[in-house]
Amino acid sequence: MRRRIVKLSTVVSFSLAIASGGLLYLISQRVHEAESVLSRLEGQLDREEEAIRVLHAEWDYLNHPARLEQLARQYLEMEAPETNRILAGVTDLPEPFIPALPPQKPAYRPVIEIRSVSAQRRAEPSAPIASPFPPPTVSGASSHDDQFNALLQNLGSHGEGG
Amino acid sequence: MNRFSPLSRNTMSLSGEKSSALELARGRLPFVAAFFALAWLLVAMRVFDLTIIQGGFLRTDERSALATAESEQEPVLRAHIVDRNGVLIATTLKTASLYADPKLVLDPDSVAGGLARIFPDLDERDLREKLKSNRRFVWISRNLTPEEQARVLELGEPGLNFRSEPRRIYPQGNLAAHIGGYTDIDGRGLAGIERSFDEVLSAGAEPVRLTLDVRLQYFLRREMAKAVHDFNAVGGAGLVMDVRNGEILAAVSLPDFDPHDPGTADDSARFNRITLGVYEAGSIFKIFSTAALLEFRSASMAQRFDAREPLKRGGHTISDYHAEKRILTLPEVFMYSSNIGSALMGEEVGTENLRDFYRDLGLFAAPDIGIRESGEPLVPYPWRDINTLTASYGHGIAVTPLQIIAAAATIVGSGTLVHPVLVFDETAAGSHNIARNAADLRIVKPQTAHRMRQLLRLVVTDGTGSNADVPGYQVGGKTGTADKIGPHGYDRNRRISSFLGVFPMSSPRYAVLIMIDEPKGNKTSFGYATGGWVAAPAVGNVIAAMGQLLGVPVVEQGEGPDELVASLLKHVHKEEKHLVSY
Repeated sequence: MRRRIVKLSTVVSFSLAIASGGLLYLISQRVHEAESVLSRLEGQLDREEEAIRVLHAEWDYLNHPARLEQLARQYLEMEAPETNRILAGVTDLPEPFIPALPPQKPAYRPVIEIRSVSAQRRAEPSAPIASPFPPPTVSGASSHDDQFNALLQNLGSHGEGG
Repeated sequence: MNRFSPLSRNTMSLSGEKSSALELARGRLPFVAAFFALAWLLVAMRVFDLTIIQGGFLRTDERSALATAESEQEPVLRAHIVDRNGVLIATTLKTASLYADPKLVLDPDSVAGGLARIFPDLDERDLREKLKSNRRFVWISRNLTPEEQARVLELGEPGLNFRSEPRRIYPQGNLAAHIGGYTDIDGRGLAGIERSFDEVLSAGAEPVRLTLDVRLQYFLRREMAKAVHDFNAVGGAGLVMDVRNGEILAAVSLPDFDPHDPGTADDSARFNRITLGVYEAGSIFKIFSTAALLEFRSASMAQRFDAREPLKRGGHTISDYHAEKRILTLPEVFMYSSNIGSALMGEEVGTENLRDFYRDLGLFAAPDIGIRESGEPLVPYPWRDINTLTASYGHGIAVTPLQIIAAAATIVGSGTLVHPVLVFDETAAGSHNIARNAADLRIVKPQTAHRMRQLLRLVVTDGTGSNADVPGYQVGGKTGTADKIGPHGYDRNRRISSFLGVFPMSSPRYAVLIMIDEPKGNKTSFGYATGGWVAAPAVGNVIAAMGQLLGVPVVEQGEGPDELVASLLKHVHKEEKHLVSY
């Protein structure tokens, strides 16, 4: 009987060895890759940390009290208050000014259309000169509420979207 | 056939047949071929790997950056020193230092010229010699600014190179030079916290956090510098302390220096007057002797002291600088700062008692706050009766400003011993003192502490310290003026003028001490150079600024006398406005 030149087990073990070798190679590649990513990130981290150190030092250098005082004197028309102008607490605040008359809604006035110069001249004397309360630009609290609600809705929809 | 089986020598040898050399060679050929094929395959795979697989994510610049990062062992950067709010007092930055490899320098003459333009303090001839030398490494300039580095790079000279070196940076400059200290060029601490915490700092871990507040430090330094300038003084020492826990919020010694370059400063500028210098404080010590009288003899405010004649004891004569020449009550002795009265108080307390009281207050031993520049107080030895008299008004005993403010904080605070604290650090002396402050060690009774607060307030409302008053902050304090010791005993023209202020007096929170060394009177002070004229206004300004910064509540002052001092005023006889006193 003729013996097989190569045993089946040999073939199997050879192919297993080759397969595991290939796998090993792939894994080692991946490790290598991951390592280089890691060291790149570490390098980046180092640079960021160094930048933070520098910026921190620069921030505290620029915020030196002497410099701030000098800049404040140069650009701000403000100064430290005398102690007699400092109140001990909120309760020491004087009562807010309350107007004697309750605010009134100004009466509706029709818009006067100006057609010609002569019409304008005729219209002038009848134009409103002064009223005790200037017409408010926004019609009170309700419009504020509307704006606020709109803002809330806006924010809400953003929140859901995000 | 078995004998041709390439895989089994055994078979061949078993068969016993002789094979010719040719056949043997033919049999080995497949091995060789397979070996080379495999080798080529490996090379091909490696090429594929490097170009296709890794080529994607490793670009050349990054690879070189990686190589340098790996080859250069990162040195541990020295840790920060920060103030109580985390503001940097000292930090370490990596800077570039320039060196040259003369062998690689192409044209030494033009390079030397270019470098001399960038660094005006370097001599062009020296540079040329350096660049023509035979060495492979010469330093050109260390710790360059980024701007200088950019200009050197613009020269484009291959023989010039940079090495990254750590450099200690002090963003606050002079502001905390004596406390923070400084290092040498290799980053070894030589003074202050840099020296005493050298091990901790060079380990590079957590920053060392001090109790200082850089903003208060600035206020204190600003006002002291103004006083030193206005009164043409030689220097000064100042401290701000939190009375309740002994934390040192500011500590300034003038003249000061730039910690980046301590070598150019003279010894006087580098001298730490806060913890190393010991001074006779003069009348500030009356706080301690008066407290002793109240504590040991339970003295009443109506007690009288005869200050009509100078006091003669054992060949010494004690006199008042601005004599009242009458019999003074206890509050009057304090507010007019009568030496005779205080000496009589000390005599009544007794030598043993007063000495022990001073020792308990910590005036006999230098406190440990974690700084090695620490001056030992000069205490008379042996302590005779005459020493009791002089020590009552602050002569014949010299202590550091730090000891004075801590002892005063002890008396006006809760009456328990205050240990000064400079460092928030679990491992260091600071924590030791923090723990000790938590443990109550009573020095004076609460009643004594309260009386002393009234007396200190009286000094500012009606006595020698009126220049320190800040309406609304209830400032109390004590002036002190002490002649310095010259070659022939006390020198009347060289003195240390000081003021210790505490506020708000109804429940003391902060103490401010300013001592000005050798002030000369000027026009605004009518020629006087006493504590009430030199140091008191400076303390008042510091208190006004820090009160606003820290949001100390303002107490509205009604008409009439301050309620703290109202009960004392019936013992006070006011004849004239006292401008000057010790």
